[in-house]
Amino acid sequence: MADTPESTSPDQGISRRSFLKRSTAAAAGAVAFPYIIPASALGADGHVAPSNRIVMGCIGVGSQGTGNMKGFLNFNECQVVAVCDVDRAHRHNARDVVNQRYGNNDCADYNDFRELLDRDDLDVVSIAVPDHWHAIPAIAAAKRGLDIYAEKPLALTIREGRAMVDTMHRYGTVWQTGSWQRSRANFHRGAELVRNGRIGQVHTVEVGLPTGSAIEPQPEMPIPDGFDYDFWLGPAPDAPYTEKRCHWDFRWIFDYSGGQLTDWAAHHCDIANWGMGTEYTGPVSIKAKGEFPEDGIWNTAINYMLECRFAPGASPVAPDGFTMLVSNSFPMGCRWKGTEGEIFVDRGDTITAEPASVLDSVIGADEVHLYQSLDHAQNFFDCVRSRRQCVAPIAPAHHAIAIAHLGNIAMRLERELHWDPATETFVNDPEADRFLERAMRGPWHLYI
Amino acid sequence: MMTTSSARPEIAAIQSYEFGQSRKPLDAVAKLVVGAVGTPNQQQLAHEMAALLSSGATLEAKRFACRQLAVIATEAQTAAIAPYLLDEDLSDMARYALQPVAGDAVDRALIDALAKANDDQAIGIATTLGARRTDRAVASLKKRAASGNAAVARAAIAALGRIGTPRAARALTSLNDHVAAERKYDVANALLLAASTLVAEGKGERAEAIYEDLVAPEHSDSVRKAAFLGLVRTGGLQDPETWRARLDQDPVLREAAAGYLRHAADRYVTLAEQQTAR
Repeated sequence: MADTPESTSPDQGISRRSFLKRSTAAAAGAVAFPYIIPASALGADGHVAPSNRIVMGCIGVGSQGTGNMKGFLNFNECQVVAVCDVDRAHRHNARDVVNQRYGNNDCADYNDFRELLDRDDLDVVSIAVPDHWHAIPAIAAAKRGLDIYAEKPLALTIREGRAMVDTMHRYGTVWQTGSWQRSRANFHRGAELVRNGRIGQVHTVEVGLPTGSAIEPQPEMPIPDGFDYDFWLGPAPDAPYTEKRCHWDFRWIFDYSGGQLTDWAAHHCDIANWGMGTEYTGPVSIKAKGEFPEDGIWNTAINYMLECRFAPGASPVAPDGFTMLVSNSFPMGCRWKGTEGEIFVDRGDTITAEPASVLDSVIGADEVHLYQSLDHAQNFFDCVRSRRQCVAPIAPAHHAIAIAHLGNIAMRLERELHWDPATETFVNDPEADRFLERAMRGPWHLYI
Repeated sequence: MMTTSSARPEIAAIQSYEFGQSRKPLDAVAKLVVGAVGTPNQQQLAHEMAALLSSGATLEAKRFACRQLAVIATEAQTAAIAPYLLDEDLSDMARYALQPVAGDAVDRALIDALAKANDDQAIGIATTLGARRTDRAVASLKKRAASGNAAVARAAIAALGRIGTPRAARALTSLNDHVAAERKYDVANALLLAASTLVAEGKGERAEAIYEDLVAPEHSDSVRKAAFLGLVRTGGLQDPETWRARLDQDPVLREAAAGYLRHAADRYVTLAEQQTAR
């Protein structure tokens, strides 16, 4: 598969001329599209003239969302004006953090994200809600013309992810996924070396993720004062309140997430795909084995091994196809194995190679240069202004997390599955297709 | 407590299940269900799971049964599940069970239920018909789209958008004359959704007509920009001189055009493009 514009630097990987040529070709039978754009629409340097501050609303300000928000507050070019959370304690805390930062009491706080989105002063939103809530506010925000920084994993199901990708495409939304490893030098370097064939033809990628957990059955509990639990459940099936269902622990319950597998595949499978050039496709077969909690409300896999086979031609560095293994039995991180060596990357700026000399290799001017971002939030703000693609766009986020979803479905059905990445359906397997989407509890739906 | 006539001890064991108890009996049934998919046992087990709904089983057990029916039910269980689409406690979970089940009988049951449902239930049923892309539901959804209940109307409008067939698009277009002014924004967004489906399914001409309507100044900026992008992507920008003059006078569309040129992300993004690229 040819390299894709999204995976190359907008400044280095694709020339303006070639992009215009492609745009024109895409509009076959029509006019030469660029011709109709007045020069006044394009700045002299090719960039849209920057506006003033980027006005942000933050939807979901629990631990992750507040952490993200504090990062945004460090940027003078961003002004947070509103926060939203169904837990009053969270949103009041976040509101106070914002007000303290700006030295005023101007930050508004909302229980309902729809009220925040109804404001007419927003440019962007940050979304950091539980996975089962990712799609609805993101699609609603895009419909209102807002750009989005959103947490991973992209979506609860493959169809929700597809709906999100198509929506952002439809509205021309600038999107940054919170898969911030793309903005770290070691991950970028490792992926770029792999993509340029420095370890030869890749036959295997080992993706190491964390081990899951179990918990004993939990009692129904009184809903804490100030916590809008019904709203928190949202589109998920109705269920009694218990503390270990909500906030951080939602990740371990299939109604709201997919376990450590989905939580971390959004990071390391994304990096694996980045290196392989498979950010816009997926495996064609998936075998998976998992060990699940024997009891209790947490029901996602504790131990797991996914064997995902990518077809010949899916990756430019694996002409014969390759296998991506995803498991908690590997060291955390991503290890690409090729005919001429291997490269391993992980957090803590880790990058190692066999032979070590691979790391000294220089990427030539005519080779693939992956999109380089030195700061994930800065990259988002830059792209909001320039209308360029962010370093972690939505389609690769979808394809990365689809690997984990496919693994969960294969574990659930206890058999090998065959997947068509072009149609995003299983091959002649309507029983498996049933797992691609779930009915939402009313009154919620994707396109509110 | 009344129980089903099932002889299976695993199913009998879950009928009194309440939240907080051990999940092991539920897991035993779930294992049976997965093991039965695609085997001669599927129908019988699905029948037994559906029978739980009319038994004296606890609400928690019935909800669990609906989850399993989403995996194992076929059209043959429609009659047993459909009445619960109108049940105060089980409507959402009955949809959970039926939504992934293929077949005309399911579509008919959902359409029938939509006609009888209260507002809360109608929102969910409309949404499920949209997710199933049930073209024969268009007329029923159009009626609900004109509801005085805003949430019902919006759900029905969104469902029409998701169905995305020419008939659904026509229904949406005609709705503009019947819905409240504040619903026109929802209709416009649903039309954009429908248009993208029409393009993906080779009906670009119909989509272009929708986009042409939606670039008009009476629509919101975000709708107009999206419609303009749709025209660009479908090659619908005929008459370049007219468009050049139009963009010169229209900052909203000009911004969309400039953004498109810089947003180097137009390949292998939508399903239609993925399939075309194969």
